[in-house]
Amino acid sequence: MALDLSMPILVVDDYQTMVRIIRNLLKQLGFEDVDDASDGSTAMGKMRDKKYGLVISDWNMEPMTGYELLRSVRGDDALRQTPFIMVTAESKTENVIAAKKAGVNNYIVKPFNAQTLKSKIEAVCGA
Amino acid sequence: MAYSGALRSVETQLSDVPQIGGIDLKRLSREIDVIAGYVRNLRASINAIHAPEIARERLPEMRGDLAAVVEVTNDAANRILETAEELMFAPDGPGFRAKVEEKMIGLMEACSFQDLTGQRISRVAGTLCALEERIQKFSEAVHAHNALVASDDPDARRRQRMAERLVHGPGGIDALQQNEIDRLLNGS
Repeated sequence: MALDLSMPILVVDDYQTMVRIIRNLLKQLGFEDVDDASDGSTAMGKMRDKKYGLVISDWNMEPMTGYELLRSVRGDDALRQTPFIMVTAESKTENVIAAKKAGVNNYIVKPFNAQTLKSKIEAVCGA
Repeated sequence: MAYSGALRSVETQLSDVPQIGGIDLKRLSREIDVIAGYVRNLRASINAIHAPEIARERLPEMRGDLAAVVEVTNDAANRILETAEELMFAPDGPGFRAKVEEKMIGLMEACSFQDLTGQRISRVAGTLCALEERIQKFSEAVHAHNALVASDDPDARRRQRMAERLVHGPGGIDALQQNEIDRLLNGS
């Protein structure tokens, strides 16, 4: 199955530089409909207003972390099916296990490259 | 000084009196002497930390250096991103190569931030080493042990909150690599 390049993607990160990098990489891959949010609670609001085909989220944010966002998404009947990739500097085993238990679809450790992002999106959204 | 002088005076006066009310005054005098020595040692160790100098000069200098590192790296990242975006979306055509060459120079210039941040971070690292050494010496001199941390300690509360939210920041030696994460996720 080919990637649906028209699907809306939500990038959640409190560092605007990282948002910009991920946006550019997504644009390079052909995705045009990319929104962003600077923390989990803002992301939840955006997800309630618009149906996203993929969420790419950092972990370490205030007031709501990416992990808390993931749990909220998976606990919400309307949003639980949304594919979710964690892109984070948190690289301890306990983080990966917690994210897996919470229902993350894939996990990318920072710093990452375009190829890793592409392959994880393909694995989650089907290529 | 006045403190230990007063103690010596008490000791001298007590030295001729063997006991008062069943208390061994010579032993008491020796114990006071030990305590006085400990207090002298403690004062010398506290002075050796140079706390006023740390508070007045070293910490503000480190804060300034780190703030400058954040600012300079941020500026450099923005310049590099702007350049990359301009190249990414530049139209093909006769002027493209000239544009790329011009922008490459800009990228190289932006990378000069590393020299400045490197120098500042080295200075902060040097100061931290010096502080670590002083605290270590102080700790040894006063035979310090870790006291129980009060539950209202702001740093303890911050650490507790970070631990609850599984926020550790970039990993150290126990950080997993991407392939290890993939194995954990896929269960293979």
